[in-house]
Amino acid sequence: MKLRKTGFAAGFLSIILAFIAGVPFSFSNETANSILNFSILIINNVEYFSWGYISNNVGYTSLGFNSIENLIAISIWLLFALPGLFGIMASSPKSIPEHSKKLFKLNVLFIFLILFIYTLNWILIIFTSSSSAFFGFGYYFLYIILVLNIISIKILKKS
Amino acid sequence: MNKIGFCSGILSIIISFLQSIPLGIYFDSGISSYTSISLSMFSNNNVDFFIWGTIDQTTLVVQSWLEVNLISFFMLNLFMIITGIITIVGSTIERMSGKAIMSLNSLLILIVIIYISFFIPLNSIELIGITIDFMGLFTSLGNGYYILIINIILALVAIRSHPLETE
Repeated sequence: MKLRKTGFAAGFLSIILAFIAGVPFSFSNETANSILNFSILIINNVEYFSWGYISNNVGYTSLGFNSIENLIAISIWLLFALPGLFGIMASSPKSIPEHSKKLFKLNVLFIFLILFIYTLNWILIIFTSSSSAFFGFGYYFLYIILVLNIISIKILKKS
Repeated sequence: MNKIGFCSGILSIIISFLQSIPLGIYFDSGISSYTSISLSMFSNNNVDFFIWGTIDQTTLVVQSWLEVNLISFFMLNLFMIITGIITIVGSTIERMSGKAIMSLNSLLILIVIIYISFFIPLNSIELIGITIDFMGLFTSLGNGYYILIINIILALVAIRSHPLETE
């Protein structure tokens, strides 16, 4: 049994969204010309990520608050981190296909939930306030993760 | 390989060595992060207590348990490091000995939880050098303690789900 590449890629991308704010690219003379930013939503120049937000180049997170204040923040962050963990676990060569399929389905459910939450947020902001709201690259990244998970399920069904 | 056991081992290693988990990592002349989640077990009088030692948030003095209290060093730091290492090794052994290591893992984590929850409030002056009672402890628990609880749940599941090689 080989490593399930699409599932592993989906898991790896989810982990990136859960931990990383931006990745530099397009290097010249050892400095990056651009940064690939993984923000999900950008509202009034405040960038929202899975772990918190960045305002005026300072990061804030409510994950670090004392329990039970951080419960919602942790729940949302886990919706990003768990698909990463599950994706990598389900893609290992020795994993049982039936169990892997269940984990990939769970991942799809989690990603759908995240997309629903952020899309609803965006709709509410656009129609109820005068704030400007845009989707960041991370939002579209979620669709890539969703598609990769669905492909993994289809490959497992075929095999 | 016992994946849940492996995750439990990784969690043990993380809380044994790290002060915080970085979030919002970015790469600007090295690796930096915008923010982080503290892995403290509990805090009292502006002092954060970790598995590996303490940080005084007013003076920013960092001390390991080896300097503060030898019993706490053995019960917290050493136990967790041993737990982490043997669990990662044990998760790859698909025999009864691997399952025994998983059982030992949950036992050691349970001892650490009991030590923090009961022995520290009962003998706080001797063990950590400050006065803290049960109420003070349970109202100031940090993320590290909750990770420890998640860790023992994973360890218990890992005993049940440990794969055994069939000859």
